[in-house]
Amino acid sequence: MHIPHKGLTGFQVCAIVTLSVIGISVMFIPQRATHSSGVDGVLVTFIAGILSIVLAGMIILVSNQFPNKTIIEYSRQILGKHLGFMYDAIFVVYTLLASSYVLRGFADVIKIVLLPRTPLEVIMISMLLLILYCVQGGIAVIARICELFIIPILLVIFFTMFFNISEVELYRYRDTLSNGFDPILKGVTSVTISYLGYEILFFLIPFMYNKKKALISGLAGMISPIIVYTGLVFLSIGIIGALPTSELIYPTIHLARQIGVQFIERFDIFFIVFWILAVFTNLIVYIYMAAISLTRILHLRNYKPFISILIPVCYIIAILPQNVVQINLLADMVNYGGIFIVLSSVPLLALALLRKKGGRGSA
Amino acid sequence: MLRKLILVFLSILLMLFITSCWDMVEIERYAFVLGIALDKADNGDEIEVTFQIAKPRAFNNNGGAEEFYWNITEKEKDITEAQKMLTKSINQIPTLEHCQVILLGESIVKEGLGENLDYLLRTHEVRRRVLLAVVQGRAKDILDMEFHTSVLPSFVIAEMLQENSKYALELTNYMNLGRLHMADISGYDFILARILPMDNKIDVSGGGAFRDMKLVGWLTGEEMMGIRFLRGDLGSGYLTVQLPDDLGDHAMLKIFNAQSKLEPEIREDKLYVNLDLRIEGDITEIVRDDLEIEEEEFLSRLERIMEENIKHRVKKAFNKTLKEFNCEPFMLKEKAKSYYPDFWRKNQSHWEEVYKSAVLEIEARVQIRRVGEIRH
Repeated sequence: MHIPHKGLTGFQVCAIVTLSVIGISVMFIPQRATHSSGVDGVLVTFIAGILSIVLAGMIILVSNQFPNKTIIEYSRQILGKHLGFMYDAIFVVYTLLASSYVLRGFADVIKIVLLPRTPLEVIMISMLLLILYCVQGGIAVIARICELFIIPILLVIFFTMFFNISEVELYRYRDTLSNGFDPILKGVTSVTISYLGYEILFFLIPFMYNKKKALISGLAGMISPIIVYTGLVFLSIGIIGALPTSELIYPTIHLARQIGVQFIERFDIFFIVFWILAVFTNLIVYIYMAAISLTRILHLRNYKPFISILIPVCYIIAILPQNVVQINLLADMVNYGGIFIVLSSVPLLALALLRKKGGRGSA
Repeated sequence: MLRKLILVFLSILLMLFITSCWDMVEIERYAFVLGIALDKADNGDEIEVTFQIAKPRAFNNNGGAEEFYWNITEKEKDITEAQKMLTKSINQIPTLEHCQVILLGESIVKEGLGENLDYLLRTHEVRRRVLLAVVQGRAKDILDMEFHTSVLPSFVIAEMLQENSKYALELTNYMNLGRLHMADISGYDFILARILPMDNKIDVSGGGAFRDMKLVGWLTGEEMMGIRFLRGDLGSGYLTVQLPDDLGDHAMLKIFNAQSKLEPEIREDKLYVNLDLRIEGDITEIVRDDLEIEEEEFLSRLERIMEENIKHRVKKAFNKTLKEFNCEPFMLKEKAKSYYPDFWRKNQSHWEEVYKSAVLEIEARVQIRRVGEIRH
């Protein structure tokens, strides 16, 4: 029996974008922001968010030129056969590395915070099996999952922020901008990295039901990450202070642990449970991207077998780093790759317009 | 058929992965540490860590255990080692998750706290809101004491600090492990609640002033009150003032609402500390002979007297900590940094001199709302 499916709705696209941005970065965004720019971190996070919205808009604009194709196909049209192939290969490697990095980061947090005696391998494998099952369902299932999870995830994050807000000491922000604009410029790059995840927009347009809504819903999906990230940085600086925040590994767990309303003890556990959902959606999006781009490179249509091939590879890459230093190396690779991918949307758009490739009419 | 077999096989396989919990430990296997006391060992190098462990039977009504807890003291290099020793001496798994209070003995805090606390800050097991107190004497003795109100000394102390600081201004629950962590990484000074053991009871008023994680001096309950006004850690409590002869003998105010705001100010390159206090309260006691005084005049004079009294207390506490102990627990550094970044940058190198010469200026406003049930 064939179920006729109409494609993704605007809200689903919005949910996918939001949940592919909100992931493990939630845990250490305050650390990143304050490490490079101190008390200006709030402003930096906000500016980086605006920058990310612009880049996401670029991605949608490029994709709108080729409404029925994903990046893997139209990059060849724009860049030519060989360059296009290289670009696509970078895309596959990046998404694979990114999913491995997210998986490893997730497993490390869980091991420290929740399950100290469970082996890392078990945490990773059980997560991957779930992902395997979910991604097999295709983009429609991913969209449903995101649609379902977005409300509880955002609610719990906002609860964490709400219970903390009374502890904020406003005097801590008084010296914002006292060091000029240098720290802001320094911070913006490293914070923009934390917003990565909206690359999924390269793939979503062909599946959309109403393609005219792509720009609006894609950009709307970026709004809640900006609120969440800026809010978390604001709270960490207001409660913990800029310098101490930059010395904590997981400032957000710290915020969740501080909460002690009479009837809620150990709110951090609650927070982490819902954070696992966020990481899960984050991972399915990355694995899906990796699988679909690999399939399209090989000019195939059915990506399902490739998921089973990619998941062991993802596991092996995730288990390889032996310590924090090597994890950071992996993180750097992912970050450079991600920055390259999202920034590439600008030249791609320029080239597409110049070479008059694509266009709404031709499909 | 084959399809079905595969399905059955797969679901059994799935069971292996998704059921149960790897980290599960039966609750009877846990030894719940309720309180920790740290002291310096007699030989000087090691520390004495006392763990108060609840007996599970203590929570069972018909258990009939004669002892509800036991204390184990381990002499070791640090807390981690001591906890490790603990696992060797009992057949249960010690867990700090339900730890109520951490008591620091005088001998250990005089030497400095830094290296001993690292484990407590790094682990996820201990809650951030665990209360800390410094004992003027041996911390271990407090955990051995007998109390009438509860069988577990750790509970008694934690409740005393937590609840009573809402009703009395002389004690405080301001510092918990989370705040101590902040103090540790940003390097500011702090004041911990003090526990003074007396023959059969304890006194939890007052505080111990810390500088660079070392104890530098003791504060009495009266001074603690000033400190609480200064750092904005406010609750309700009582204030007794002596009255001049024409008004009576003494009066007591029950403070039910207080606000305080501490702001630094730079005037002519000098640091001033402005404290703005607003206090609301009810009169609970006036001791005096039958004097005929007009009510309005009496109350407004009483308010002025109380304002002066509070100012005096706060000044005394401020000068004692800052000038005598050279301890600055009022976040002046953080505030000056935020309010006057340029001034801070200029004076960063000799900050100690700057704050030691700081001048405190207090704006206090006491408002008496009610006078109780008797017209005076």
